[in-house]
Amino acid sequence: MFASLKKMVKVSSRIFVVLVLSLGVFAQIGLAEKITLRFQGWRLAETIPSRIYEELRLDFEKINPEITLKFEPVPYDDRLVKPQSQIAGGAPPDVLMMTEADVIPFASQGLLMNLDSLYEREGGKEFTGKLLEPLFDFDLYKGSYYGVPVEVVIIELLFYNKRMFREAGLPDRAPLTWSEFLHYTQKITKDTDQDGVIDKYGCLLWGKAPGDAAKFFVGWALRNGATLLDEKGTKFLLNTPKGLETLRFYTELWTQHKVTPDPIDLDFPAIGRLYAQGIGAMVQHGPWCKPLTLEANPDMEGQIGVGASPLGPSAKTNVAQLLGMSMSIPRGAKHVDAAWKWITFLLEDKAQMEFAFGINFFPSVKRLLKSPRITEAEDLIMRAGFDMVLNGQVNQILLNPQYPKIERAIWEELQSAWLEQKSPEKALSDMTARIDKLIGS
Amino acid sequence: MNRKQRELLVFFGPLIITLIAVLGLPLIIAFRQSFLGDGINTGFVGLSNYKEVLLDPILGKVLRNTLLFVGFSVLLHFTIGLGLAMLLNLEMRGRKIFRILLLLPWLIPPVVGTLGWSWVLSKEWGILNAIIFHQLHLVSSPLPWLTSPGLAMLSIIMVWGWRGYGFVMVMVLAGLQGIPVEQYEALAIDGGSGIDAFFYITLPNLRFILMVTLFLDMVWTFQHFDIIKVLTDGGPVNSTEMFSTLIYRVAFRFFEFGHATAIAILLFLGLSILGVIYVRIVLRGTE
Repeated sequence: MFASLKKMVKVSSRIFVVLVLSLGVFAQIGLAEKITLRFQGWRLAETIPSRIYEELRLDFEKINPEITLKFEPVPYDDRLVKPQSQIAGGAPPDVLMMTEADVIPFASQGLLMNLDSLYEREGGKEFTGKLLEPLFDFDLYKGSYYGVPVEVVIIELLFYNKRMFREAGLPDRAPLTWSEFLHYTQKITKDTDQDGVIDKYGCLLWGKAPGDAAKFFVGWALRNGATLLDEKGTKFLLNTPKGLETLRFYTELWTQHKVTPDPIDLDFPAIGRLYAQGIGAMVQHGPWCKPLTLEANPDMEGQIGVGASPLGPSAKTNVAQLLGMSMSIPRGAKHVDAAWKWITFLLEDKAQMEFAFGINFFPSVKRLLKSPRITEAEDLIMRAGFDMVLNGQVNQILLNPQYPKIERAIWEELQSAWLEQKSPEKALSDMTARIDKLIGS
Repeated sequence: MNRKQRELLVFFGPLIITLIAVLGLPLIIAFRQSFLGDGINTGFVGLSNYKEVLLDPILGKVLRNTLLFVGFSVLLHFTIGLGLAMLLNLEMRGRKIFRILLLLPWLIPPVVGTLGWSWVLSKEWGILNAIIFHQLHLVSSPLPWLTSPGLAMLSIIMVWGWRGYGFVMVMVLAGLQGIPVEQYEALAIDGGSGIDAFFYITLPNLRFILMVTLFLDMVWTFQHFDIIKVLTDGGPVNSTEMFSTLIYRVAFRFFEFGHATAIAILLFLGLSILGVIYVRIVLRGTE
């Protein structure tokens, strides 16, 4: 009896081992078919956009059950540092979120994959024809595509504090011209507690971070009718009466009129805080200003006004900087086809409209951009932004691979003018000389 | 190989392998990178990266800024650290609690502490200006601690001084506790004063520790990055740009890896020469 029992245990244990091993093998086969697609970007770290991306992720995975989408949020300031290290280390994500200023410098350093073959596979001209043409300027390097534009971004909306306007006796609308802007800021700027220090400011100017400082200053120049580059893109043309008029006006808001806190102290968190607390009445910002302000101070509900940035005295037409967000595939990405599926998924109607009405980023798909839902939107940010999109033009200096150094040169000279180390004339002349040296090379 | 050699290999082998992997290999890779062009997979460019670094007009400013920062920060660390160590070496109630409290700046994560300081130093709303201007009226207007070139440098020296004295304090305190009490008693019997005790007993006994601490503090301060990046990011107008922030910017903002590693290698060579001279002085002293 014991012998047969012993035999039974032996056989059963062998069957058990075979079963376990078989399950393991089948499980591995199942696992091997599933792809983990890594998507990295700074919007994944932001409250509202991350919620939208999460919803889209679920939809995408339902349609593509063989793909698991893994989000890798990264702070905005680290958005370039982390992927560079990952690409150099041979472990890049599969899809990278890039701003309009990132794709060309990255492409010029060999950090991104050439997407021409994928564009061709998607239909070539038929594919590119669906999207807003100027946006491709940000994704083309030496005639090849290195990104796909998925959003249009407008950063020159002028947000104002309705309560502060009301208290200053100003109308409930954004100023339309520079002289009106100055007048508004002067009416609002006050030392309310008479302690010798101003505690209410008419505006907030971006001056601490190079990227923000350069972009906003260039925007002011464009809205004064200035031209940035010659046709060949090898000469910086801002050292003109219009350019000087812009620099003088912009810097004198601090050096002379003191209608802003020290711009050199103002970065994204500081500006957000000061606007939300009702210390600065007007700020140029992207559409994310409203949700961030309400998150910081719910009492601002109903007090946030928005309009277009004012036009300069030398402006002949309304113009705004057209910026964008692109998706790129880094060099060495493991799952190129799956990455392309995710990128093209973000161009579908649902994703585009979620971004438009969830976070006020405009669709890059022309058909949707011109749809009544967008053109007749009641949301004030959408309406103000849409006008700017229609009048948008690409900032040509963003297309130069040396843009990071150009941006640094603009920032340093702007700060020199704010610190009154240089006159506006000298600052502009030095800025021009430095940029000419960079873009001429 | 005899038994002793085998034992040495067993005990020190893993350490040497780790040091090679963690220190040696990255150094070799960086050295190689400094002779390559910018970007990824670019070719050999010889000494052109080094030439570009040495001819860069900003190099003089960065060197000056770094030397100022290192000089004054280390001085602050030693002044505060040595003084506090001597105080904490005295017998007093609550000594243990004071030791922990005084170490707190060193223990707080650097970025967290620095963010706090950026609030303290804010021109319009910082507590420092609230005290010196609004309360005590020591100045006629709020000071631009982070937005004026001169004051920005002073601010980062102050913040690093606050953060870094703890290391000096701990090292000196350990050294003080190793000084034989009999030496002080003997001096007291001979009629020596407290100042005599400091110069003739304390300092000579602490000489080796002070020199090692000085060297380490200088090297760490040369390489320091967090406080500068968070408080000023090298601004305004490069007035607080150091080698550390310059390397970061050239590598990760301008994508010029070859150029950035050339700066890093030059800095490494400079510090190595300093280290060799220093070690020789220390060794001569101990002989």
